[in-house]
Amino acid sequence: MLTEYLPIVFLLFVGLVVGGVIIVLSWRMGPRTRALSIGDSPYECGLVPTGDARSRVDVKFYILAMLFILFDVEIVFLFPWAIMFDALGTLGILVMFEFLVILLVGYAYVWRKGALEWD
Amino acid sequence: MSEVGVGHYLTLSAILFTIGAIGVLTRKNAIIVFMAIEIMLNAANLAFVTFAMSIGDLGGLVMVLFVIAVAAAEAAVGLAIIVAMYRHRETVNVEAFTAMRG
Amino acid sequence: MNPEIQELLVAYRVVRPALFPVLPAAVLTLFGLLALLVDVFELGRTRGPAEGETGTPIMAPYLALIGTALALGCVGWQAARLETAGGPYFSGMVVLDGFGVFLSGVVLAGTLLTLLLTIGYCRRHDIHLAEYYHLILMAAAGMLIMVLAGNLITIFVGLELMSVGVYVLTGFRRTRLRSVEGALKYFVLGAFSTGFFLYGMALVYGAAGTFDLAGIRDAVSVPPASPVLLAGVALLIVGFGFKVALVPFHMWSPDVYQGAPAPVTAFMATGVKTAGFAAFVRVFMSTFDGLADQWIPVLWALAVLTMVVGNVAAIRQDDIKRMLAYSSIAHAGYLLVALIAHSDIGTAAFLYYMAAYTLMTMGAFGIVIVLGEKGTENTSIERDYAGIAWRHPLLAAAMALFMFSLTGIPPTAGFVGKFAILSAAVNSGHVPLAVLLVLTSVISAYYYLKVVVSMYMRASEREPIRSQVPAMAAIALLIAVVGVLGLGIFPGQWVEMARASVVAVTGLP
Repeated sequence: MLTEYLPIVFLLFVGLVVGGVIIVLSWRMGPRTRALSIGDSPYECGLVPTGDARSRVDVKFYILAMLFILFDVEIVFLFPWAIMFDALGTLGILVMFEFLVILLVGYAYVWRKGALEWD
Repeated sequence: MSEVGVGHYLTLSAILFTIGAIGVLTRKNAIIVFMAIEIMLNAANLAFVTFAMSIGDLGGLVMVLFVIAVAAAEAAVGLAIIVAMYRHRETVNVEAFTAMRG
Repeated sequence: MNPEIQELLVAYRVVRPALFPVLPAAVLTLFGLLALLVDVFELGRTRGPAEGETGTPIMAPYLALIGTALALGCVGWQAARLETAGGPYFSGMVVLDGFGVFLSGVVLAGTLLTLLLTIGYCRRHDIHLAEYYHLILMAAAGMLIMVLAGNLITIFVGLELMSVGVYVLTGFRRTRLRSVEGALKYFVLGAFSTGFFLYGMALVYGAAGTFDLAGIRDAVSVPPASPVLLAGVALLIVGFGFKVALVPFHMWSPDVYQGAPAPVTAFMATGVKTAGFAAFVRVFMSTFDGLADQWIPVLWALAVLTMVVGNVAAIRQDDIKRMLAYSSIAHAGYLLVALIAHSDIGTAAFLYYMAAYTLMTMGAFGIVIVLGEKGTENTSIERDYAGIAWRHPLLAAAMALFMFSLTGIPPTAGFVGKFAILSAAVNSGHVPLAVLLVLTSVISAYYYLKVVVSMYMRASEREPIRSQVPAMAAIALLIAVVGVLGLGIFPGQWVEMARASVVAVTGLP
């Protein structure tokens, strides 16, 4: 029923009110000086940013991210196995071992090809 | 207003699938085309889960795991191909890839 | 004895019988991984040609060859033990039947020929990477899984193992624009078709309540068919249509075939097509048997389009790889006619034609491969193939034979195959399709014979191609020539074998 969504609506309402109140209060009560250009900088009390934010990202990040996704997702197959560990028994261990060996070959390949080295 | 049921999930999955398919056919940027394909795969995933729950069969959930794993492998290969293409053409606009036609 | 070890032994005894059907795929996987490991740990590598360059993997190609040959042996063993092979394996995920074993043999024969042709090609074009062989073996393992699949999940996993490997192989010559562009097109359209395939699977699953092919068969045999099921079947046709390149889902194939390295193109034209059609035929002939009245008209229209468009578009091609791409589309149309016949004779004709098609296509691509030179593949029919007969009489004769076989002129395998499909179609009352098949074959004679005319009757205007046929490629070509002639002159035994293989598929599983 729709009543189940009531807490969400309530949360939304509270969020809007709190957010709105804070914005209005700081606008009303804050000092009216826009002269300080530091207030417009991205990090008001941090380092002065240098260069463009849309700079190129090193391609090494891409390779690492790709490898992370691959190995991360393969782990998904371990979860059902872990839950059914007792029922599957030795056969399950054997099969999972075989699966991990193949993954390990992939890892050895990545390692020996130097994809994990940063420099 | 009625309970959210199988029909709603399936409708959502059909809408997602259509969005994905239209995205593949209309967008020019190879990476966005690829994202549209991922939407299609996830639409299928949603349908698998929905059917699995409504039938009470675990097969659909198992299938989803395989689809996720395969989608990750495809993502790795696909992005690598797009990067290789970018090195040749300095663009990822699919309409620029016309070395062969006819 | 140690109780743990005893437990392991018990587990092994449970697994052992189930391993029998997947043995060839397991052997391929094992050797694929070995090829990669041996290379990456620099065992059996020689130093490279120049300083800083990687060495030539001298082990990987031979490991791949041995693995494929062993897998072929395993398939032979499976064929011999087919009578006693019980089932189901892996709770019906894998089925072992004559249909699957026959096509496993065809896939592995294609892989073996690809490897034999690849080795010389890689040497000529300086591709010294073990990954190449690894990917071919893994893709072949995926094909075998697809061929023996008894469950939609297995079909999907096999399909993806095959496809992802072939995407990478297509773009393997990454310094060449065409190779990468072909890979990108193949990847985008392949993944797109995977989406359709998966959604179709989801709908069929929703309607039938199971992924098991036999289970779905039982569920759909009760009329009336629900709209969800029919939508699922339609999406599956789209998905399969992309994979085996049926018109109108063929747009990717000419570009991909032209861009990919020639041995990979050959592998795609034979292995990928065989595996795709194997799953296609298995799903539609046995699982959706009860819905035949619904899918036959759809496939009928697709077959007509595929045969006409494939053959007509092939006429204006000058690039031989592109011409062979359209030719393989046309042949997909002929194979579809065998499926539409929807009978045991039709399936037997399909099996025979698949074997014949693999041999003749592999042979044609083999000639294309050996005529390539360092840096260029020499693929223009008008320019590069003119006058070849005077310089390389044997190669030209073999090419002519493959072209005759692809046209369907006796006494070649292509003729017997087309004849088998024609009689199956006529037998099932699809006379218009049979007539169209004959007419489009006549059209195809034009572009196939154009190659022969160019080879024998034109004077070469370019520098003559200096091609030395590597020993391995010569063996592959010899196998293809003997196969095409053998299947064509003594078809009885092979047709019989195809018939015998079908008995098991219709009684499936």
